[in-house]
Amino acid sequence: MIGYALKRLALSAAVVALVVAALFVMIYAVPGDPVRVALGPRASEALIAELRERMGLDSPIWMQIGLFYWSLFQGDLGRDVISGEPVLRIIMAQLPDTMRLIAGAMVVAIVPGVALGVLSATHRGSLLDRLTSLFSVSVMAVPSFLIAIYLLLVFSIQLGWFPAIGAGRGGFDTLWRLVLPSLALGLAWIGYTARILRASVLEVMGESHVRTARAFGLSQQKIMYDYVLRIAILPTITILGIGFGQMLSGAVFAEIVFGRPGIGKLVYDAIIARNYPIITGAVLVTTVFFVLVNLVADLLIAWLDPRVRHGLSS
Amino acid sequence: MTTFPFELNRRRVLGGLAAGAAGLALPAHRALAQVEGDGGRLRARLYADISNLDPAFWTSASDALVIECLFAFSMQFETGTESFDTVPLAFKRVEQIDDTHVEFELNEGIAYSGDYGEMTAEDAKFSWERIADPETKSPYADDWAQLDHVDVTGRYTGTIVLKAPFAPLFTSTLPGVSGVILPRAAIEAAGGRFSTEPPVYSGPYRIREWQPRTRLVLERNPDFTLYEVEFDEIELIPIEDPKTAELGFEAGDLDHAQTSISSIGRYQGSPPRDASFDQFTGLNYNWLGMNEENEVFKDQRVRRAIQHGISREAVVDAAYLGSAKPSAGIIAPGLVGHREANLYDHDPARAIELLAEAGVSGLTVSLAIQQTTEDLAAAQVIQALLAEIGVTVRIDQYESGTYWSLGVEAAGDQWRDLQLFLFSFTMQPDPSWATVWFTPEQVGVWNWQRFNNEEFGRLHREASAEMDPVRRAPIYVRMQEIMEESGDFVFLTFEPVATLTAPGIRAAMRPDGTPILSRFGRG
Repeated sequence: MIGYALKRLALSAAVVALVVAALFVMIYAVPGDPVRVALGPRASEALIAELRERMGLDSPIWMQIGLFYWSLFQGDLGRDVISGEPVLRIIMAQLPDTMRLIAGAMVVAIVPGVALGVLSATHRGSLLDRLTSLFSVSVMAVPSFLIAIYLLLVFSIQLGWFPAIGAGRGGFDTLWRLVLPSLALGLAWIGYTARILRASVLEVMGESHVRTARAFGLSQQKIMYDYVLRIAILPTITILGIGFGQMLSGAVFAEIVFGRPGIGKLVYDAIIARNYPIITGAVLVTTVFFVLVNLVADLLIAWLDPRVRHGLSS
Repeated sequence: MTTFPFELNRRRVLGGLAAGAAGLALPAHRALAQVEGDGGRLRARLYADISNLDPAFWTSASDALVIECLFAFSMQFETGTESFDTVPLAFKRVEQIDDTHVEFELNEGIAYSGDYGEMTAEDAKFSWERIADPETKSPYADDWAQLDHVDVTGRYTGTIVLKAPFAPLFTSTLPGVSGVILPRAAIEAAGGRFSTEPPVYSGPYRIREWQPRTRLVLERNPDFTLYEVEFDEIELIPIEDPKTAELGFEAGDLDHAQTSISSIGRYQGSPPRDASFDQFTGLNYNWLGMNEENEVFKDQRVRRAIQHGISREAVVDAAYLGSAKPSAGIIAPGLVGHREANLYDHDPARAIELLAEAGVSGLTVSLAIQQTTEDLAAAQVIQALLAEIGVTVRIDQYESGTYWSLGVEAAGDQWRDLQLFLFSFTMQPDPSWATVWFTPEQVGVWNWQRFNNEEFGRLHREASAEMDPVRRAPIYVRMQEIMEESGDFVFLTFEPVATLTAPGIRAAMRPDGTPILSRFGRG
């Protein structure tokens, strides 16, 4: 198990390194002069040349990537070309808001998703099952940004129950402002979670160890929680690990529509302004998070599923 | 049949629906209190977060809005007027002695925060010469382009000595950010420059809290005495997307916000929350440019045909949904040199004649635009109009970063392929800031038409040195005529600016729709 964990960790580090290199090549292939965009029309040629040098844009790309990795080993992600602030400080200031948003969306996806998935499976073929299927397909089909706009129109503007913009000032205010964006980001994932869990529960319920448990006369509740869900939940964990990445990219629209701060909006603005240090720094941090979440999901599955555990030890 | 701890049945569903309906029927309460019940706080939208508050290095309109709250300007634009009139602020008196000498006297007792004492003429000398000094590398050195030096003649008095007459001094330099006066000791203590943490305050507000990209809270500066401010706090929320700002305003989260252009029509008829809706003509000027060095457009008759082929009214109506008027130049209403009439208007028959004279048929051209709703709508109308005179237009959309390098020689050879393009510039409230980009020196930099006219360049220099507005105005009108005569330009419009202000709030706006937040009040 430890060997497996170390192997996965090394693979994760390689993925992050490759992503950063690919990102460098991609952003420098995009036309447009970042220095002119940053400085605007009133900048003199001398000023443009100075900033180009300060951004390291006068070196060949391979040297820029090398310098980036070297700085990275020293814990330095560079400085924002516009404000001069350290990139790491800017990113770390934005990260908590995005993480809160994703955590909220995960809660929205998991709690009703798991409940609906289990109910659908246990009431297979019933009206409830059909309604759950209809709901799941509907929320998966409707684009999240459309859901976001309707949530705003109904709950903020018509009813006035929730604020429309901002991330709040801490405590209850922050939680309150998290409700609508979390719903917008997580709603589609209720459908995914419910559909996958339903299929998984039905599959496990037909397995021999569950039939044996029934034959012994164990209660339905005990069978469901101790024998079925423990195995059936595994594909859902994998899917939610991937969902984390989807939600990270989805955070861009949620942060823009709800006027929230966060990494998504930070990267979006940085791309428009050709602010390379911010782009590379933010993508690096989010990639690390995505890879780590999937690593944890894989290790969790290995730990929860005796078949995987035995496979690894053998 | 399986059972589950939570049993769902018709009775439960009906009960849940009834509870939900009762909840919806409850009276709505706004998520955030209005300003009246909010301790005197004004909540407004910033277009973007602050990034640099140093008067020598500010980077955006948002920075400028905040700088106006934090530092006492030498002069300030009046609000609620149709022209850009100014009033002295830190200045007690300012007087033009001759073409190159301007005497000034500061108000006594303008306090700096911390241990920096009061504002003196020495501070003025330091601040203005700092921006003008090439060593500082300020992007705003041009604001003080003609500054020779400042003579300090007393604790509060001094003389600005210019190398040559410089009209923008009174219209954009002194009333703008470049006129801000800061103490040398504070700047030196900050290491020669600062960004988002001002080492000193002298304006009506100071920063109480800044959460990057989330909010900036300003609190009343108790030491400020130049005018009375009505709000204890100003909370500024950075929202780039105007639609998000509109929703925030409608939900009661903002007291003041600029709207999107596409919403102007909707809000004109019925502003939300009994708000005040105000519309202004911005300083942003838009035009259709033609690259006269591109093979297709070398013949002036072809360019003139394009000018005659375009109905500016139709283009502006489509792009701005009826909320803007066609323009006859690049200098906005309210400024010296604003022009009322065009020389070459929509005349498809004449356009077809000109193309025939030039021996051109079956012409296909590209039109470069940015990825905005307004540009796309305008481009589609231009495409349809030019099709009527036998010119096929291919619309090429670019994201902003790419677009802004299309006509720049330093960015490569792509400028050679540039044909038609939709362009928009913003400016400070002096006509010289509109014309400066079209001088011969700007060919291949920001003059993408490659319009190269010696007379225009000479007039630009003359007008910048002409201190009498009455003599200055016809020079700028003539310059815009020269631009149009060249065939390189189809002047389109000045971008409309619209704002929403909550009931109980009195907005203080410049003629171009720029808010002066520290002057906002109740009423």
